[in-house]
Amino acid sequence: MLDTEYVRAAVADVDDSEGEIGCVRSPGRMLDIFESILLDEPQVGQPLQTPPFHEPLAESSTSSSGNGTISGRQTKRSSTSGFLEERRVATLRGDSAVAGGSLRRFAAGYFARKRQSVGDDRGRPPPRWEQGAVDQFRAVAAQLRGRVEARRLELFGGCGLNIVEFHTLRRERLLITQAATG
Amino acid sequence: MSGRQHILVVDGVNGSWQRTIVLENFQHRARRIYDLAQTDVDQGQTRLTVPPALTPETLRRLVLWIDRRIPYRQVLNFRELLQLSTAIWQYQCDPGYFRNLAASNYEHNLDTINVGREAAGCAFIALTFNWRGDFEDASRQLIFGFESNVNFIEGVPYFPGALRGKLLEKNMPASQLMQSRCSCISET
Repeated sequence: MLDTEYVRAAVADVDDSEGEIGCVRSPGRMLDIFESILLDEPQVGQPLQTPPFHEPLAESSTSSSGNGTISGRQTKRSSTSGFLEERRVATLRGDSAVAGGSLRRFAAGYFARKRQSVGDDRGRPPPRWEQGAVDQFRAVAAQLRGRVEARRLELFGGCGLNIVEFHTLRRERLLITQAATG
Repeated sequence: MSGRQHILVVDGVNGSWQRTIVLENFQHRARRIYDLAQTDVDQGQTRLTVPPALTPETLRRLVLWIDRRIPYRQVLNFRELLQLSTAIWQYQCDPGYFRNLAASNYEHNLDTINVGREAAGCAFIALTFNWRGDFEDASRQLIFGFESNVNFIEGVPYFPGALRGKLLEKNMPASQLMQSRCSCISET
């Protein structure tokens, strides 16, 4: 069972500008990145992937040496910039690939590790997304989406532009009669 | 309904469209069209050139609605509403004349569009009609997504330079911080 606490901790790290993921100081930009990560939804039957830059399987004692790491392909809709891929996230339970790459890759890595701790899958075809895992991904993504939206409201509520500053512009370009308010 | 008559001609891909209008209708509703017609008042006809930001259809609609009443139940999609706003700026129109039409259409269009992606258009429409809350909402979205090297407002053919400058100004600290931080990281 994918632990949603795992993801909550990662998100909390991201929000904290003093934290490990302080590389992106623009909270709005970070939220945008999260949203595009959330678009990278897995499909049943898709192969699990692990990120190429990240070697949790090779380093952990439970990994098998055979087809341990499957190089992650660039997903079409993932828009994480290159500078993020070099960072690791320190979470409650060690490194994860959440903010460093795709949430899907992070979840895939989790499942791949879980599988390997259960048995020896050397020589098996690459593990694929199953319905149960996809459902769990969706549940986590929905929570994350909700948090992203809430955070946006917190950070940026009321930070739009003031239309009063453009009244001169409007008067120059539009036919605003005295009686009308605009 | 007497009044000086004048012919307005709008060219399009499928040919010309023309309408005999009452010139006075345009004096307080579309100043630029009125002025153009005045220069041709002796010829009795003015050919309106459709600017790049507009379509002939939009121009025809504008002329019709100013010369006659705006149809009460006219339904516009987001693109059409954006075109209308652009035309209002282009021809120095009275936005108040179109306010009810715009308000009802903006409302239902908000449900159908991706507000984040269409933030520039929404901000522009709200600016046109002086909707303070909507302008603040849309410009906030625009500030989120606005990067100095990406033109998020490309979808809006006419976008006031003063507004663009303000957005850049608002977003600059964030994007500068991000860039300086990125360069630090790539060195480690």
